Amino acid sequence: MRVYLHSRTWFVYFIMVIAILMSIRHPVLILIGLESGLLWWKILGRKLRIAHIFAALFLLGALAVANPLTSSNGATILFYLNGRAFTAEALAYGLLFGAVLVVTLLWCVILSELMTTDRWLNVCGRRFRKTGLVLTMVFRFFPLFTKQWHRIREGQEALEGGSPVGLKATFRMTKRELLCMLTWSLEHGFVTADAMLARGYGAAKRTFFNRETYKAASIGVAIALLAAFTAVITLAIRGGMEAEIYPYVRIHMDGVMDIIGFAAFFLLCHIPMISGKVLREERRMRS
Amino acid sequence: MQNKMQRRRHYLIMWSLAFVLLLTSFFDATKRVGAANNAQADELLNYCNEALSWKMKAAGASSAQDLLDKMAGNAGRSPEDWYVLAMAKMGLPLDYSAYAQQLFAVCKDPEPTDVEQYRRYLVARAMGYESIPGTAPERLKNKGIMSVIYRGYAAAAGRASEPFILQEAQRDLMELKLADGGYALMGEASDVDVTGFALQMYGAIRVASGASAVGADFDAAVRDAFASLARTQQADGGYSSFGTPNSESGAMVLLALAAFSEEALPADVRGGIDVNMLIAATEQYHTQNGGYAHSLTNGVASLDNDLATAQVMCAYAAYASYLKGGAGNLYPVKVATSPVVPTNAETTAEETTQGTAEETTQETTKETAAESTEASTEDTTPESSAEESSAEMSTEEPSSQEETEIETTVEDSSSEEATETNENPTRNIETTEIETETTTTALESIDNPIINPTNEENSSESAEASSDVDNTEEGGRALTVSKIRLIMTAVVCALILLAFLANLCSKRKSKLNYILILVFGAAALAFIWLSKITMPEQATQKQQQSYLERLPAQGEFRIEISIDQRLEGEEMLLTPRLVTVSADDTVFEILDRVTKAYGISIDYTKSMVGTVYVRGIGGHAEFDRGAGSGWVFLVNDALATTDAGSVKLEEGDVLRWAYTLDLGKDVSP
Amino acid sequence: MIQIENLNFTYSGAARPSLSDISLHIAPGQFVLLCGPTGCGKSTLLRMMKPELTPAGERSGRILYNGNEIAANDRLVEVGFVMQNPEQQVVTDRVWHELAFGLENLGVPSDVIRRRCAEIAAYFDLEKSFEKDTNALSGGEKQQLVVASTMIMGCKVLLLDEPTSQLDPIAANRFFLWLEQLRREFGITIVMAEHHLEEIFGEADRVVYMDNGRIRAQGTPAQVAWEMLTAQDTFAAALPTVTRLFFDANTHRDPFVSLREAKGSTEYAQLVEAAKKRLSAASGGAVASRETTAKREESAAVTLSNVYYAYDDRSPSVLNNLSFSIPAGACTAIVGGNGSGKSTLLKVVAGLAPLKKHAGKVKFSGENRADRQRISFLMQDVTTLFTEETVYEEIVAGVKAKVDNGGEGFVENFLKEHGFEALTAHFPQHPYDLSGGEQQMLGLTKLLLRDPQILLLDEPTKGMDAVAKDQLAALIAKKTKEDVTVVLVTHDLDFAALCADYAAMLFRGEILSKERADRFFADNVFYTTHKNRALNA
Repeated sequence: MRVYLHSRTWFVYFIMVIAILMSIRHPVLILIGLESGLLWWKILGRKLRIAHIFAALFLLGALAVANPLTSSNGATILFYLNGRAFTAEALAYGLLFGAVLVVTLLWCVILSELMTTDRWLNVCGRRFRKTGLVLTMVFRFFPLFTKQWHRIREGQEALEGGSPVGLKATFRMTKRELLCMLTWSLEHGFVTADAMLARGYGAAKRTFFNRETYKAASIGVAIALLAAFTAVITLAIRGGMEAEIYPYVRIHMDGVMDIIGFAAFFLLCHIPMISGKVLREERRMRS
Repeated sequence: MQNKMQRRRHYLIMWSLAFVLLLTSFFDATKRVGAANNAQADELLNYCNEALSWKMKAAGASSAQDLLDKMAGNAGRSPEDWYVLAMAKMGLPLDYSAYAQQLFAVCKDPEPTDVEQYRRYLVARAMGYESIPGTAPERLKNKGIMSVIYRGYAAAAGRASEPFILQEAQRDLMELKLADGGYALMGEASDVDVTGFALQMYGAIRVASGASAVGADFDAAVRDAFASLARTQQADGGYSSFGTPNSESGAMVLLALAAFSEEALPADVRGGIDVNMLIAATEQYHTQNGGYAHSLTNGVASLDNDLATAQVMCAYAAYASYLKGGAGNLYPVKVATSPVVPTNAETTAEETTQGTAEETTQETTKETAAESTEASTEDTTPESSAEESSAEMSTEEPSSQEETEIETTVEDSSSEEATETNENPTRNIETTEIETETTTTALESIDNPIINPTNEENSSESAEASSDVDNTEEGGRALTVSKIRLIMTAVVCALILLAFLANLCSKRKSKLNYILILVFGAAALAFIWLSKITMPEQATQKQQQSYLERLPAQGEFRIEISIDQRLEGEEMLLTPRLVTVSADDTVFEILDRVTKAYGISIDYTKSMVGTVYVRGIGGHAEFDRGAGSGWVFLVNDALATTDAGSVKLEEGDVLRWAYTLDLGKDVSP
Repeated sequence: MIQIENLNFTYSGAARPSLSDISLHIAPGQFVLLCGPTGCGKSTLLRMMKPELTPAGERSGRILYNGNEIAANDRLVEVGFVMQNPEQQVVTDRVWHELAFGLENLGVPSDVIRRRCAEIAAYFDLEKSFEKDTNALSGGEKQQLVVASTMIMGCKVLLLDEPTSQLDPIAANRFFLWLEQLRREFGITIVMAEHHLEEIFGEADRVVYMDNGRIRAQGTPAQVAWEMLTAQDTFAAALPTVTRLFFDANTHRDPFVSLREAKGSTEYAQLVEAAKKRLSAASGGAVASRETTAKREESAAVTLSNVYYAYDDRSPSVLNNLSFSIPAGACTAIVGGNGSGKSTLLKVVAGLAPLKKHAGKVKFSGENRADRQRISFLMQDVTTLFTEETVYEEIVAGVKAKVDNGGEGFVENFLKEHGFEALTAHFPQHPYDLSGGEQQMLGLTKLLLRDPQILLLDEPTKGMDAVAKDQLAALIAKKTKEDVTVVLVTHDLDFAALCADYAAMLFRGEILSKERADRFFADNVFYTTHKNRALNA
């Protein structure tokens, strides 16, 4: 049960990266986020498929085109569409926002991949024991209930002699499935509650089976992450790394504050990847 | 099995996070913060109530209704009308009948000025009365700016029975725009009060015409006007008129801000004016008694002024109404029910011009057909009929006046036109244009019934024709409507292809995805080809000009530039004006930008090393006036020694491009 | 260890007492087996011994644990309770967490938990599956996990309420062996209520036979078997095959409780002869009727040709080049081990698992597309069909028109025809309140009301007692007489032998053999009925 980085450190790491990406929408930061995200992708053993690239490009393009249709902020009007101004700056903003979305989605997938159920439980830890228990039960019951939903669907289809045809029939079928699911889950819950009681639930104050240890490395990494994060945020507040789109596109890239900010974010993203032990552990977990 | 379940879990988390992201992103618009606005609105309404109680005390009234009745004696003739406007805007439930009666009685005044007539009409509208005889004539005796503004406002308030009156009012006002974007009673320097009032009229016209019908240069005019107001805002937030800081000017600016209460305008149109500071500055004039002073005496507000109090009340009431999301115009405005398509050829594409011309053709053909029969039975001399119609004018509805004018013009034109209306459509268009032009000119001067409109109509026609020619010339530019449609179609097709491929290459394909892609793709394409695209042709130059005149941000500053071709009797190519540039703009870049914005041609060469040499500006080329003639530029009256591409300026510099005849010796001091 | 004195219990609001005058003594280290028909009170008795789960109601009499009386609000950690459905008892998502759950509840500190988990994982060889997702475990493994996580809390008495009813026979066997190991090595006391007596009857130290809330017989397995057989109790059908086969009322010998015992006896061969003679006399008619059925035209109701089926592109094929024809108007039993694809085969026939383009064909009575309405499929989990509040509504759901046209009492008559009168008493109850067997009956009723031509049954005997199984067999016989094709997928070989005309074995996605049922089971040596095992010398 040797663990190298505490779950809370991981959690904080992801929150920081995603928060920075979403709030400071600067193209260079997005590029850094993309690069480190793809690196994580490789470490976790996932392959970058063509479908992903196509989907990402589609998202980018769709947002780039959709944004000017809804927002007319921006000084350079290209043409008027149905009375609404279609500005070049809105196009640029759509592109930027699409990039932010794609990279954030990438990081969210990495988050869900790295934060296994064990890790989520340890984030709750000793302090939020009840939440931890609820979380673990959710992780248990969610796949179970989905499986049961499929079974119910099959059972109903078997009864009716086939899948429903037409909107009304589908609606009726879904209603029936829902009712069935509700009752079933209630009954299921009763038995589970009994099982929990049988195993002493409520006898005493619950303890938390702690499988992770706070090594000095975790604390050190957490401090480093915090330092990088505060660096980026303070630089952003003080005016560095500005990427204004409205009313005119002004992207700052050459100031001292900008460069330091980029470096700090680069560091933030790559800190957990520095240690070989962490990487080996992740690979081992997923082999 | 384990992997499948893990994956499902991952996808669930991922997509719910993405959904949350998308939701939060949609709140990234510039929306007004409701709560803060409501608090501010309530604060302003409190001030109004205070001022009202001051007035009540001053007039010896026990309640607002009592005050209204007491003021009724002066209805239509004193600045106390403003109180009525303010009280109506505050939404007080009062009975205006006594005041209205007095107002109507006054309206029968034999020699009213235009302004007074319109003002009375607006007050009556504010009280809720729709049409008041003897107010708001359709035609102006003179075209002073106040008359134009009031007329426009009255037109927007519902007096206009034909939409082109609104456009005419709008056009008139835009013609009176000064170089710095503002407006004034006279002279070249804009006056805050007049600019504010002009903006109120713009706001009213916008509501009445509909946002899509006012055209792109309308927005530019509004933006310029606001920019001029932003420039002249004092350090403490207030405004001054003719050098004296006073409360009424601030009130007018606040009214102007409240008049644009729609979200459709781009965010930066109203920008630049610090509203909170303005309100704070106006509150400086708030006396202890509750009223407002016109100006400060010894730095303190002590003398309550009736007009000042009334105007501040109006301003606060209007702005509070705006903050709460209601109508911000001080005077009631009739909202456009259907989009009004202007007949002005400058602001619309050629197709729509043709369309509306055909519409008016049909309308006028009907009218002409109906009236030609009448006309033939009437008196044939145009003069006498014109006189008759002018005599009838004061008692008849204005629409009938227009009809009689049309009558006369039909009579004036040869009879063949009346018979050929159905056979020759192209000619009809010309005649329609002539007719519309003549009707407008006829409305302008009732004293001169049009006998022979040939001169005027020719000039207006040629003006129209030249503007048409201009448009067709500009139509040869890179971006046309069809090109845009093609580009957008290409983009949408590319997106569809991407989505298709993404679905094709993914592990979990579903037929539903394909269907969705096709449906949405088809919808997008339909949207592209069915929506109306118009080109902002005239706007570009105006945009560029306003870009040059914007308030400098961090790293930017203002310099003065002028282009002088130094010819006797001719005005400078570019009179000295302030433009905003950034710190690392070179002189050449500034020149390039400025000449593009003001439509001045420029001829230059760039060498391989990067030095720039300006050969000609505005058609004036080097060596045109002798061996030593050409263009040089001076920075702060010092002749430049290096090329224009390597000189950068600093704040407050005076850049002057001058055509020298003597290698620069005659231009530098 | 546990002493029950004159226990009476009535559920609150019930008319009759569930337990009447129960007196029982359970010594430490004993294995006590409670058996009896459905509703006899076994589960209630077990729950009385675990105070956390004791239902509300009136109670008189005493229950003593180690001399101390158990009150209603006590907490007795030393007594563990294992319920029927392993799926519903697993609370957490990881094996390690499940093991630690009980200890966490007791407030045991974290390092103690760590050590306990480690040692129990080592003992039960769970080290490899320590990090596993509980959703990935099979039914048997889950049930074992539940027992392990109960044992980790240090319990001395294990109460099991029909622990193998939801498991297939192979998993059930494994479970029993495992329990036996536990009992031997730790000397825990086990009290088990079971229907599935075939394997476990002989292992018990004491058997308690209950009926209607009373104890009818207690004693060693042989004693209780003797009493039941001599009294010719209907429940005697639940006794192990060996016991019933070789019982002779005239001899005063104790009945055999296991095959080993029987084979060890010196008179084994004669007993086999006698049993065979008795059987052929009794079922002569049945064999004859079977042969007449065989002489009928055997047309195929469903023909599968070269069927390949996989759940998705990346998983291996479940059905591999399967070619099979299901005879019409007969009952075909498809047997096979776990994961052999039996359920998938039924789904393919039912049309729920659509075949890919070149993955084979399913033909119905000569045409490719049958009228789908006429295939009814009863799935393993019957509760997936229940959507209404009362049993009556459940029955008429979806067939309202038929019921209305049938007139008064249509439903009751239908039930009587098919041998389901027991359901009539339960009309106003909620479907979930019925017992497992009654729920199966309800599901079958729903299916039969739709007048199917092909009836597919997937493990219909799960959770049924012997009486209900006989009823089901009778129903299937009736239906086959009405020319309905019945396809039965089951692990219960005895039941398959009872009602099937044909049997086929599914192995690794292919049908290996299809023969007449009696010949099929007679030919198999290992995978065969208990009767055959007993009678094959």
